[in-house]
Amino acid sequence: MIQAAAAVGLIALNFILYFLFGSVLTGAWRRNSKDAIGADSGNKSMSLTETVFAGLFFYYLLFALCCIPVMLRWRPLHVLTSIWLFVVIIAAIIGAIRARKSFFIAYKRASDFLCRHALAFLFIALLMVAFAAVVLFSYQFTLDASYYVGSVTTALRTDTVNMYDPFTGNWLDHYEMRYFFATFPMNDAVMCSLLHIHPLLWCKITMAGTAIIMTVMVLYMLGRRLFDTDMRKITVFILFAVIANFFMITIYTTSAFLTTRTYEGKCLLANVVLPGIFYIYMRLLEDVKDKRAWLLLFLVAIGSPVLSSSANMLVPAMIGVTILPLVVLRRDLTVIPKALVCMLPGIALTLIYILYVKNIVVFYTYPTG
Amino acid sequence: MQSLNIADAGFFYIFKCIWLYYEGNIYFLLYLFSLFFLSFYGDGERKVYTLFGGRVFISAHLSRRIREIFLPQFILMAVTVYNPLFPVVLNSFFDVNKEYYRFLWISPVIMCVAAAGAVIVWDICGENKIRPYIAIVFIICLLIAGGSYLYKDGYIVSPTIYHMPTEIPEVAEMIHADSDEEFPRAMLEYDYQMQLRQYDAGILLSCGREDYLRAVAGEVDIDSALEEDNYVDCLLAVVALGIELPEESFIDALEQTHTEYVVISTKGGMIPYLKNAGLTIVGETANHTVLHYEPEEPENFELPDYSEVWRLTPQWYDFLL
Repeated sequence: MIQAAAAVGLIALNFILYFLFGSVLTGAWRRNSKDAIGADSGNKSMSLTETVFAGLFFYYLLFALCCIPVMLRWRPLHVLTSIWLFVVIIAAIIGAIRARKSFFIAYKRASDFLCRHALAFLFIALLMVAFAAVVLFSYQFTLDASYYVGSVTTALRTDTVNMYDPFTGNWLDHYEMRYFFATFPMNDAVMCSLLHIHPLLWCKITMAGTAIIMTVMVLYMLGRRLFDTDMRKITVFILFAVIANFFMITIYTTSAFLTTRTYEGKCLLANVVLPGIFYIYMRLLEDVKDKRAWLLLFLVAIGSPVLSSSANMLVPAMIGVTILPLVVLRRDLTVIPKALVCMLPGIALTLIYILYVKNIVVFYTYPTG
Repeated sequence: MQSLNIADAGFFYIFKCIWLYYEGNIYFLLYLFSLFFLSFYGDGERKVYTLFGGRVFISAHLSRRIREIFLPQFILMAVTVYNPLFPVVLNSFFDVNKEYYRFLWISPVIMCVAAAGAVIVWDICGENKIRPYIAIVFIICLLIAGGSYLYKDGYIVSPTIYHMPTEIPEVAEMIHADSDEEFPRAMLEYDYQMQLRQYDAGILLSCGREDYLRAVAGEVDIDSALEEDNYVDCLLAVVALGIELPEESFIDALEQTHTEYVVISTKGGMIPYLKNAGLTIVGETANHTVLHYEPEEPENFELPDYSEVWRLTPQWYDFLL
């Protein structure tokens, strides 16, 4: 039970890390438009929620940049763990330095806004805790867990990175391309190795809880964009969304991934990445030349394939149908090249996957030259 | 979507796909309603209307913004993802049979429905003290009645902190305690097979996920199990399907796949057969029995040694090795 409580506590660690990683990018940003928490137009501070949101993608992007070279050079998991620990420490220091001023302004602004709407935030917090508790306490048998959790356990047991078949434990002679760039489970393995926690606890409690809170956070960000500071509407918006997630259930829906396959990267893709792009679109609607929104979109586009290989296909499609209408709505042709650049990472990875299927590009788990 | 094929369904694929995706719940209809409600309600200046005997306030500013948010994306979705031609064309380039449904994730169904609900509650019913709360209850009832409840078959509290049956750690412990191998190989029943390595990757499994799915789907039978060199199907026939094959075939399959342990339901009735085949009982959990087979040629599974590879491909971070 203590282990389970520790796993719940580690959810906070994830958010602190995402925040610090996000601060590396947004720490020095001075927002002069509407803040996701409490800031009014003209006030200058970072957005706490947006920083965490950006941090999630930056965190996984940096992890993939560490993980892929280690895989290509067949180094063991403990090497990756040491490299990642170093990167986390450096990113945390840079993030803390860059956010040292803007964080306190943002924090004060957020706490002021929170106090003004204490009841609404209390309700949202209770709703989120209840949502997480119901999902985290439930027992769900899902087939894909045998891969997503199995690969974490396998990596830890063999001290390797994606070199063994998680289903059987047999050695693989080449890396499975679907999971080569989607290094999300390997981050789980590294964190389990660093924190000495069992993969099942990390995946099914810590990462599941993280995904649920992140989903509610994105809903809140969307609510703020939709309804400004009208907390009555935002609260009801989140209430309806949470309830709908328990009832829009078939094995295919985003809600099913959120409630039964919560620890998978696909859950984050369906419930954080795609709504997150919608959030960025809403920011761009207000100012189509908002450079930070475009940077954030690019970060999402380049960071999301690390969560799930499905992002290679879905994120460019989402950008295509969601962002491109800005060309007409804002009569701005510069949207096209910017959107295309954001679609490129997913398209490039899809092409690599096609080359893999056609046996043209294969990364072996041993030297071939 | 395993049951749906773009080549077979053709232009009807997208309709069947949407139907399967929502499986009869009304959320897609609620999405369409919400979309049009948010897009076309409240045009012009803020006005007061009378509806159901009450005053209705309409916010033009909100409406204009929200229309720009949801409608353009839907129009583009309608001409692409929801276009009957699109999956057919896409499938001619890439095999998207299994994954096409994920394009439906792009539509912000829950967001749009929840936003419409919030607008209905506070813009349409908001000038009255009681009516917003009645609207909240009504919309919640609609969301509940129109969907399929996640726990309709019962809410199962996780039996362990590991989110798996209590017997899995027991089975893993028994196998390791009994085996001389660092990585013993086992064959288990379906759900245990899928869960064991999540808990303990120190146990290898004799057949992969796809093989097991074939067995569950009815593609494994006596004929396939007795085919020459089809050892995996032979194991599946006995352990997953409870078919009593000739014992020598089963033993040969255990030998060829280096399977040392079989974990099977105690109540399943296969234990006498397995004992007759030469397996011995190692231990029992509440519902399962762990049996051991002593292979003539042990597998001696070892992790490949990469030290020579590392030596030949030096990296700047090798001091961490």
